[in-house]
This record gives sequence, structure tokens and C-alpha cells, in this order.
Amino acid sequence: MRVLRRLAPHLVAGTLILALAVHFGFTLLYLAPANAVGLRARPIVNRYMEPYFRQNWSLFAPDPLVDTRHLLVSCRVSDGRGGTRDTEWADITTPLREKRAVYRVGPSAPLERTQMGPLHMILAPGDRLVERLARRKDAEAQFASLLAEYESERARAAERGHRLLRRVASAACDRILGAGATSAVAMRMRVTESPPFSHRSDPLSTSASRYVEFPWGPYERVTLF
Amino acid sequence: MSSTDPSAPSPRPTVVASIAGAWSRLLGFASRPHFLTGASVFRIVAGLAFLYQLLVVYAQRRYLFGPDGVYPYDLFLDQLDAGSFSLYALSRSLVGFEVLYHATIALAVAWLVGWRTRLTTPLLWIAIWSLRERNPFLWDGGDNVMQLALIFACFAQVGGRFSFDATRRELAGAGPMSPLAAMAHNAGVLACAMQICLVYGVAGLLKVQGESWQNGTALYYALRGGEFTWPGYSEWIFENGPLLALLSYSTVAFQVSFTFLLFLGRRLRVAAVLAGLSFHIGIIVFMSLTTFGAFMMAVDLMFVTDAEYAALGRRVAGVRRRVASLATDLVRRVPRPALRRIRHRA
Repeated sequence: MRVLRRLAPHLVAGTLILALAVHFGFTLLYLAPANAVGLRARPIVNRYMEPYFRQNWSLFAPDPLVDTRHLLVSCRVSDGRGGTRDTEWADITTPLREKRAVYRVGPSAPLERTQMGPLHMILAPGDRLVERLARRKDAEAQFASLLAEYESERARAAERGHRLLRRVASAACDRILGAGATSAVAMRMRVTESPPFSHRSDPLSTSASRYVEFPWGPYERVTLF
Repeated sequence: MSSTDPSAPSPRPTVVASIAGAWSRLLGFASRPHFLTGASVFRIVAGLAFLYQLLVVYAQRRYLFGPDGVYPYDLFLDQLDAGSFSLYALSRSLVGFEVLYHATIALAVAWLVGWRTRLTTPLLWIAIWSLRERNPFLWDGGDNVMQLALIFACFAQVGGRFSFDATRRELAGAGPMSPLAAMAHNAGVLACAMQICLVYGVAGLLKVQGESWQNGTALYYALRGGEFTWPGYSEWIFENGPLLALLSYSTVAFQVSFTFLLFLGRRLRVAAVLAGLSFHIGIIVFMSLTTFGAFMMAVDLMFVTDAEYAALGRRVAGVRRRVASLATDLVRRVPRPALRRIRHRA
């Protein structure tokens, strides 16, 4: 017992140092760009790090977004004669941004994230390394299963994004037209490129916009606030 | 060993002895708690940010996290990774949701005031993790940092100062922290330091590769893009070319150098903390990334030593005394009749 008490500080200190070294060794491998050691260890590293130590520090890196995105919705409602009509596009992002410009703290930021999050998810750029593999001539044979898994994961993520957008749009339609009036929703994203740095004094309204269309989908009932 | 035969010249025992000496010095250092005040400041700043985060969407909580909220329940269950969990998966009822959400607020308050932090720190981690999994679209790097820091904080003593725990210990006449508890605390703080170094280091090195960070225009695009612009104010920065380049480059310089500043000397460490604080205040004010900035500042504030906090406290107390004596002086100089008139009016 006395021996144990004397050894305890040594054992505890040794264990803590070892734990720190192992944990941050894994973290370093997890965060490092693809390299010879990292690639081989990737499955083990991921199993240790995910989900609880998952992390991503590409904060505004390598480059910040150069465009401004707005989400627009259209609601399909009954026209009262047994048919349907589609409402005009309604911009549901601008009201949140206008509020945020005045009240710097408040719920506008998280509410905006429910709109921007799914958009980023649908339009996420592909993994550079995997796409380089896919371009190789022998890609099909060597990495077929890996590429298939990657593609299906991307497709699933995009599907989740579309589902979420439909729910955001459904809630927006309920707020505009009253709950339950809508049978289907459509979304489009307006993308406005920021003027280049040399024209930084130009207002955003002088920049050209393009639209990304998302197909009509069924209305889903969502709790409003 | 060598004491039995002091005449035998052998380099070995000296190497062993110096390693043993270093080890015992390390043990001695690690057996006393360091950065106790910093850990408590971390708790208070992060606790306030958690509370803000929970209360600012209080009216929208059912839309954001509720059973029929914007993130569909079936997708939420599907997405819970094999190894993950969320308390919100236990029940689909609205009552269950409300109980959990309000319990999370209560926990955040208990943690903020330092009530039983040994228990409330892991509980808060569970509650916040559960909420995060319930709607994974709402979070940013700040939430990511806190998710990790809360795990490390379970080892640390975050209720050492300015807390109910500290008052209770004082009243009970508790002695200093046991060496083993101190080691765990120090390891927790060190883990937070290593993590934040990785955050800044990786973020900085990724920026170095970006063209806009290289040519000093990145901040223009960050401030111009929809989510982070502040109409009427962002222009102050991004229309001023030299200022913009200076801020863009110093962002990268700060992030890349943070690790070295933190570990290579006292003055550099304080400089790193001060730079981090001003950096994140700028982010809060201009980009309205409120909780991101607050969570990052909470971790940065951990790395001020107890002696430095004590010195800061003395300085603040000194300034307060001087202001107080100046005020009494001023009151004394007011002629009596005037003073009487003021009192009469009050």
C-alpha cells in the first residue's frame, strides 16, 4: 500500500504524459494533409477521432467565399378552382440580414445558418485528393470501391441538404400564407459575386447575379416560432 | 550506486541522475496546480457564451431543435453516427424536448457560477453535445473548440476561483489541491493549450495556401460576402487598402506564430493572449460571430498565469481606490451649502 502511494505520482504523471502524446499524435495525423504516414493510418485515426474529437479548422481558408447567397422560395397553393398556382419568388434571406445589420446580437445568425448550411452542403466542393484519383486512367480498376463510396456519400449529403431546404421553405411558406396552405415548395439560390478588390467601392447591386434552381418537392410540416 | 565506489569514473550515473533530477523537478512542478484563475476565467466567459447561445434562440428553440423542427427527427436518428449519442434521441415528445432544453440552460447557469463543477462540467458536455447533434447545421469553429475544451476541462479544476465551489471549500477550511488532482488539472490545461495551438496553426497554414490571403485581399472578401458583412461599417475596413492588407497579413502571422509565442517565454505568451483577444473582439464586432469569438477568447484567457491575474487584480484595485479617493476629494471640495442643496433635492 505504502509502495503504491509512493509510486502513484510517477504512475499518474507518466500516464497523463503518455495520454497527451498519443491523443495529440492522433490529432496531428487527423489534421495533417494527405501524406504517406497519414494515409496508411487514416482508418485507425478516424476511428479514434470521430465523432467526439472531430474537428475542422479551415476558418475562412484557404480562401473566403467571394459571393453573397440568398435563398428564395415559391409556394404551390390551391387556386380555389381545383387547380394550383405558384406564388412569386420570395427572398427569405434578406429580412434576416437586415435584422442582423441593426441588431448585432440576436437569433438572426443561427436562423440564417439553417438556410446557408444546407446550401453549402449541396454545393460543397469535392475532395481534391479523391477527385485527382478519379481522373487517373486506371482509377476504375484500382479505386473503384473507394470512389463509389465517396460518390454515394456525396449524394447522400446532397439529398440531406435538399430535404432540409424543403423544410426551411415549407416553414417560410407557412409564415407567408398561413399554416397548411402549401402543398409543394421550390427553392432557388441567388448568387451575387462580390466585385473584385479593385472595384471594392462598387455597390453589390452592380454585380451580376446567377440563379441555382432546386426542384419542386413536397411540403413538410415544421414547427414555427 | 556510485556512492559505493566514488572513485570509479562512470558517465552513466550522471546521465541517469540528471534524468531522474529532471523527472522529479517535473513531478514537483506538476504536483502544484497552475493556471487556476485562468481555468475559472475560461469557465465564466465560456459559460456566459453558452447561456447566450441557448437564450438568444429561446423563442425559436422548437423550430431549431424541437421534435418537428427544421432538422427532421428521422434524419437526426439516421445521422447519429454509430459511436455518437444524443439525449434528444431518447424521446420524440415535445415535453421531453422542453425538459432537456431547460435542463441544459440550468446546467449552463450552474457551471457558470461554479457549482459542483466536477459534476457539472461532464454533464454540460453531454448536454451541449446532445444539442449539437440534434441540429448539426448551426455550429461553427467556436462550438467545435468548446466541444473539445469541455472534454479537457473535465480533468481541470475550473471551479477554483470566483465560484460557489471555492466559497464552500473556503468555509470548510479545505487544504490545497492534492498532487494527483493538480496533475490532472495541469494536464487538462495543457491539453487545451495544445488544442488551441493546433486550431491556430492549422487555420494559419491553410490560409497561407490561399491566393487572397497571399495578396492581402482575403479580409475584403470575408467582410464583403453576405453572412459576415455589416452594412455601413465593414466599408471602414475594406475600402482602406493598406489597413485591409495589414489586417489580412497580421491575421495569418498571428495564427501561424501563436504556438511559438505561447510556449517561448512569458512576455510572448502574454502578447499572444492579448493579440488573440483583440483579434476575436474584432471578429465579434465586425462579423457578428459572437459565440465564436467568445469561445475562442475563453480558451485564450486560460493562458494567463495566476500571478499575472493577481497582479492585474491589484492594479484594478489600485485604480479603483484612486478613483474612489478622487471622488471623495471632489465631494469634500464642494462647498457645504451646495452639498446640502444636492442632498435636499435627492
